[in-house]
Amino acid sequence: MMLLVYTLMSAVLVAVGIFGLASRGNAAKILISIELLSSGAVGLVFFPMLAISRSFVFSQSLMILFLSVDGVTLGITIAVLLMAVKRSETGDMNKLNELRG
Amino acid sequence: MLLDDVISVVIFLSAFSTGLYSITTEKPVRSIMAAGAALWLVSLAYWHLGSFSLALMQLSIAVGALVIIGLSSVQSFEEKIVRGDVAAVLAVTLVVLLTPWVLALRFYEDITTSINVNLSSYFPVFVLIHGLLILAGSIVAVLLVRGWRE
Repeated sequence: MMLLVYTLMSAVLVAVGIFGLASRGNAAKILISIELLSSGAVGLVFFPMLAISRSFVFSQSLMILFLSVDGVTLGITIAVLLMAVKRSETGDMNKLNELRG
Repeated sequence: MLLDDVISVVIFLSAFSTGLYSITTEKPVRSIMAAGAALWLVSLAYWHLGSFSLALMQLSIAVGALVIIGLSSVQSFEEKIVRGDVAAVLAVTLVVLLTPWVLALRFYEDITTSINVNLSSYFPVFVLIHGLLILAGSIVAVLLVRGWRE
């Protein structure tokens, strides 16, 4: 039951993150959505894997790797968004259309 | 229903409501604090399952990132900081600094057993230094953004 509830919690956090990414234009909100999404995704892998494999050490080791990659990704995202805010002098991401091809 | 199940349902509902509030609210600092609370609850879920190392990592990475996002975005978007916001940022900073340190200090033996690695006895001090580095990084981020605007 515990693992099922925590899997649901991770799925809900992923849904909230996607909702935030889709509906918000503010740079800070986008960063928060990415953080919620990635944390939910890590949990969404960890809790079912723990239930299926029953190998706590293996699941935990893999998740430490995922969390490390998540931290690095977030650091790069923060740097890119801060540079975008600096260049465009606005926090509204909807006004950034330089990548539009 | 066991007590553990009740605790997991409470953590689930709290994480859901704080996560949703953080996305829907228009107040920037409240939004960041609510997201911090949601991610702190995720780390509590790891802790509840006995994965202390994952709980520590989740707490330090997620809340540390939110402190950086919060402080730098408050500066870059020129949001007005009221007294309550300063208290909230201070509270999160204390959580970043103290909770992983206390967890590592209190559950050092459990963490060592759980990950099957003989950690140094200075592990809690390293965790505290890590928190201080996160705080220093966030202050540098604020100074950089302030420099860009001036």
